[in-house]
Amino acid sequence: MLMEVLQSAFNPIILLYMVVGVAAGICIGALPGLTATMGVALLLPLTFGMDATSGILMLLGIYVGAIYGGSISAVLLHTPGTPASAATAIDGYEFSKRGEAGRALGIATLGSYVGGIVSCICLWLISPQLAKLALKFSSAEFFLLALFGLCIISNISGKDMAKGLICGFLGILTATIGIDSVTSYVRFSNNVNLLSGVQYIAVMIGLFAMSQAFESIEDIFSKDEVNTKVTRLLPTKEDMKIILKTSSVTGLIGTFIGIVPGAGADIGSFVGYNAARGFSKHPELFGKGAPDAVAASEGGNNGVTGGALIPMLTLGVPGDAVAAIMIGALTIQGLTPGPMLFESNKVLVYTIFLGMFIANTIMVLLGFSCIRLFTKVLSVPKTILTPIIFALCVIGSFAMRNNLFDVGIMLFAGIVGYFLGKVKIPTSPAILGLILGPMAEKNFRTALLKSGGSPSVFFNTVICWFFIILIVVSLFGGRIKALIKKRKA
Amino acid sequence: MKKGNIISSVIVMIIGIYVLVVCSGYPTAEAYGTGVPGPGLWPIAVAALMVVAAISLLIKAIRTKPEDDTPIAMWTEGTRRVYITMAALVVYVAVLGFLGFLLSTVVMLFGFIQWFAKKNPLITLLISVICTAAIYGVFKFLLNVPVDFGLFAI
Repeated sequence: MLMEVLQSAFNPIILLYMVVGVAAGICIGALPGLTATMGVALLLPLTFGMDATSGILMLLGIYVGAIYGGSISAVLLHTPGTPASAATAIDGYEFSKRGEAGRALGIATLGSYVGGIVSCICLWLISPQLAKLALKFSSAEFFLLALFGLCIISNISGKDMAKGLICGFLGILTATIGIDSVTSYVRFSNNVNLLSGVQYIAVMIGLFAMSQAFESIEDIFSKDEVNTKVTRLLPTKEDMKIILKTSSVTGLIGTFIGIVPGAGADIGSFVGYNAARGFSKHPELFGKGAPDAVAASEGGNNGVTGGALIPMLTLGVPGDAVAAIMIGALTIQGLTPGPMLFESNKVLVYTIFLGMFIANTIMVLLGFSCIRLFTKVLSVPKTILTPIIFALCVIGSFAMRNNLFDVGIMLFAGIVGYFLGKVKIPTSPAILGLILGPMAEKNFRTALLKSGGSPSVFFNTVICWFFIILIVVSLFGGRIKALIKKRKA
Repeated sequence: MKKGNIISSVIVMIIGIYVLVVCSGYPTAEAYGTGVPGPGLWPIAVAALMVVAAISLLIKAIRTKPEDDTPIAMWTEGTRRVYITMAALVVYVAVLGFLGFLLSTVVMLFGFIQWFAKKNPLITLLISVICTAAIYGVFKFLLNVPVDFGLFAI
């Protein structure tokens, strides 16, 4: 098997796709307003014609590249290219002000690499074990797992729990449109285009790419100027030591944040940043351009990339919005992510593991060799780019099943997404609801079918109780903590 | 934000109640005789929870004191531009099926780029044609997506 994995991962064409993916990812990430999720959603249609390995590895390249690319504009413009680099912008820009932009970019590049590699190792070590455990899951456990995913998403996706929940529920309800998979009853709409359900790739392109493009129309005439010259990119010995120490720890933190459904790279970088400030000898320097701050944030966000893949591959539960799109990519290829994937498509799974290493390595090589080129991307005018994004959204949602109806769905989702953003309702719970909702419903009903309608099936095993406790903690954990604090006070 | 929260919670409640009404007419478990809940149970449960969440948002919004409220700018120069863009894109998607991808996309790109970038119209036209051709080429020839639909089948 090892030879097969090596052969497929080091296939020159696949390597080329990955280089293209990482480079495109860095450019997308570097441009403020274009996020990693948007990049993966926009370029997903390009993988429809590819085989599964090439397609997934290219998307991984885009993902890894975009999360890193966000640091470029964070350092140079004080504007994070993706939300994942918001923490990097705090200290990174201080370097630019001192004329040390190159140093900050060097730290960010190597920090991202270290964080990414740590998460790859975790992916490699944890996933097979988790998949083995998940093989023991029956419908009842999968239902509770999906329910847990849905609960935690709403909990962490925004400041207001009700808003996160509402969006998650809207996603779940959208997924019920069409033929019910258990009884074949048609729900909500007889429209022929909706019988097999709402195409969630179209919804995703709308929610993440189109609505973002609408947002950027608001200040389309504002211009970002890059005046800083990038010099002395390679980190010094002292910086290297700091990066290795900080980024490996925050990479690990990021990985575990990535595993939690719904928590993405933006949370990973902030938690990493705060943790590093906690164990730093000079916490007062954080916010004033500390090298460990940049290393911590970039290690944290790239750590999420590998972590998010763990539940996606082993359980079919996306770790973040990008992983949700990748579930779509795998489904299009006729593959169902989950424990069975480790049995039936071992080579693909291990190629994905190895591909993550390769993508990170391509990222660091491109980062150090071509960063001056990537900074040029920042001067691409939004005024031309945004209309092109419109065209890409349209063709991307059409290409899914060559259906113009889906283009309408995409545009509708984009418009709704824009207004949801205005009232600060987070959109990622909707996507996770779209994926986890059907999983929860199907397993809920299958479990009841097997038990002859007795709900005791959900309380029968240790794993069930484990998930029930997790669900309770995720819903009421914050309140219980506050109550204990109050008592103590 | 207060107004926005009230409006959005009311809209969500209407959607929730609509789902509840529609789904209560669906066949129940008895109709199938297997003990499996019918097609209506899941949407009903989710919609009910959604209505509860919307009510909690509504109560919180009503209780918001005016001094804690940050108004959302829905009618500024920027948002008006977004609304016009949305309307234009709705028209674009509507005519896409008749005019075909090439023609309508060139027109769409030309319109937006000329509006936003204010370049020489000839340069804008050139950019629009090149971009449309590139997207069309990649999808039609590399990815085999049948992009040739509409009036001229192009």
